[in-house]
Amino acid sequence: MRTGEPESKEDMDKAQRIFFRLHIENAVLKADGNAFQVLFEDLMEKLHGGVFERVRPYGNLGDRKCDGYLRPSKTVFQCYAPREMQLKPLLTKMSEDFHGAKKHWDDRMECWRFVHNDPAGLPADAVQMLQDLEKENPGIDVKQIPPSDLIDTFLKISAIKLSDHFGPVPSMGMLENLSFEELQPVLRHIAKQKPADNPPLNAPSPEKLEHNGLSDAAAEYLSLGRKWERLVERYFAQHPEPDLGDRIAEGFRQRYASLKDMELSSDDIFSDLQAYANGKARSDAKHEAAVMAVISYFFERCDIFEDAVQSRGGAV
Amino acid sequence: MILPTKHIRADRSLLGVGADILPILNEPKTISRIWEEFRSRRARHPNMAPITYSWFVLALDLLYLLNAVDYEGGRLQRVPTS
Repeated sequence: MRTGEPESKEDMDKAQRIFFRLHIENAVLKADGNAFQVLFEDLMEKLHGGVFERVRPYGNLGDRKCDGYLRPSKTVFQCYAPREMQLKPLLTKMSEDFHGAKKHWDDRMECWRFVHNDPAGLPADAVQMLQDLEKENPGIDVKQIPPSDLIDTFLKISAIKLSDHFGPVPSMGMLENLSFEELQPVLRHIAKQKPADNPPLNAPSPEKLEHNGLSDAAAEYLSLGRKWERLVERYFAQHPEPDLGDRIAEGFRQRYASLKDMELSSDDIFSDLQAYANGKARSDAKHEAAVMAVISYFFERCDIFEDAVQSRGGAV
Repeated sequence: MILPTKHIRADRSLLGVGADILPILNEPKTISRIWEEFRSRRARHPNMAPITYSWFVLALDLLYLLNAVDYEGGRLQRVPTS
C-alpha cells in the first residue's frame, strides 16, 4: 500500500513500539463491522493526514462503494470485518463492491484494496477472485490488506498521534524508573478482585478460535516485562502479608481457568487478563508499565498460560 | 502457606516463621512478649521483611498443632522433646 509522507522511525523507543503494537493489534483484530471501518478511517487519517479522505454514505446515494480514498495513489478502500467470515457472502461482497466502485469512481480509481481483519487469511476462492478481478481490469491494481499488513502500516503513525488514539504508553525511560510506588495500586486492585466472576466477553467467532498461541506482539510484551520481574518479586518479599503473592497468583489462575473454559484464544485470554490487572478503561503510562511487570511476573512462574508456554516449546 | 511456595520465601513461610519463634521460648512467655521479641529479632536482620501479626498468630497455631508448643496459665512454652 503506497502511503503518504513517512513518519520518523526513531520517533518511538522499543517499549513504546511494543505497547503500541499490542494496542493496534487488539483494536484491529477485535473490531467488527462498522467499528472496524471507523478504526481504519481514524488511523488512516492519522497516518496520511488530509490526502486520505473518508467517504460518508449520503442519503440514497450510499458511499459509492468506498470506505476511504487515498488521493496520491488513487486507491479506493473497502473494509470487511464480519463476526464470521463465510465464503459465499464474502465472494458476493467482493464482486459487488469492486464492480460498484469501478462504476462510481471510474478513472479516479487506479487501485482497489480489500481490507479485512481475519488473521487466518482469506479463503483460496477469494484470493483467486482478487487475481481474476485484476486480470480482467488492466489498469487497476487489486489487492487485499490482511491484518498483519494493516498493523505494520499503522505502526508508522507517530507516537504522539498514536497516543491521541490509544492513550499514553510507557517509554524505556519510564520503565527504568519503575518502583514499588507504581506496583502498589496495581497489586492492591488485583487483590480485591473476585476472579471467579464471569468475565464480560462476547463469544468469539469460530474462525478466530483457530488462531491459537500468543501473538508476536503479546510475546514481545511479556519479554520486555521480564526485566522487571525482580522488582515484583522484591515487592512480595517485603510486603508484610507473606501470602499476598500466593493470593494474587490464585486470583490469576482462577481467572485464567474460567477464560480457558470459555475456549477463548490465547490472545483473547491475554487481553482479558491485562484488563483484569489494569482495572481502568484508560490508564496512564506508569500504570500500564506496572501492569506489564505484574503480568510478566506471573507468566514467568507459570501461574498463567502454561498451555501457551508448552505450545511454543517452553521458550518465549 | 506452611511451606515455601513460588511466591513465599522459606523465611516467610509459616514453617520458617515458626522456626524463628521457637528460640525465643527459652522460658514460658506471654503472646505479646513473644511478638515484641520476634519483631525486634527480625528488625535486626535487614533481609528479613516484617510480617503481620495475623501471620505470626498462624505460625503459633502451626507450632501448637505440631505439638511443639503448649499454652498454659496465659503463657506459651515449648513442649520438651522426649
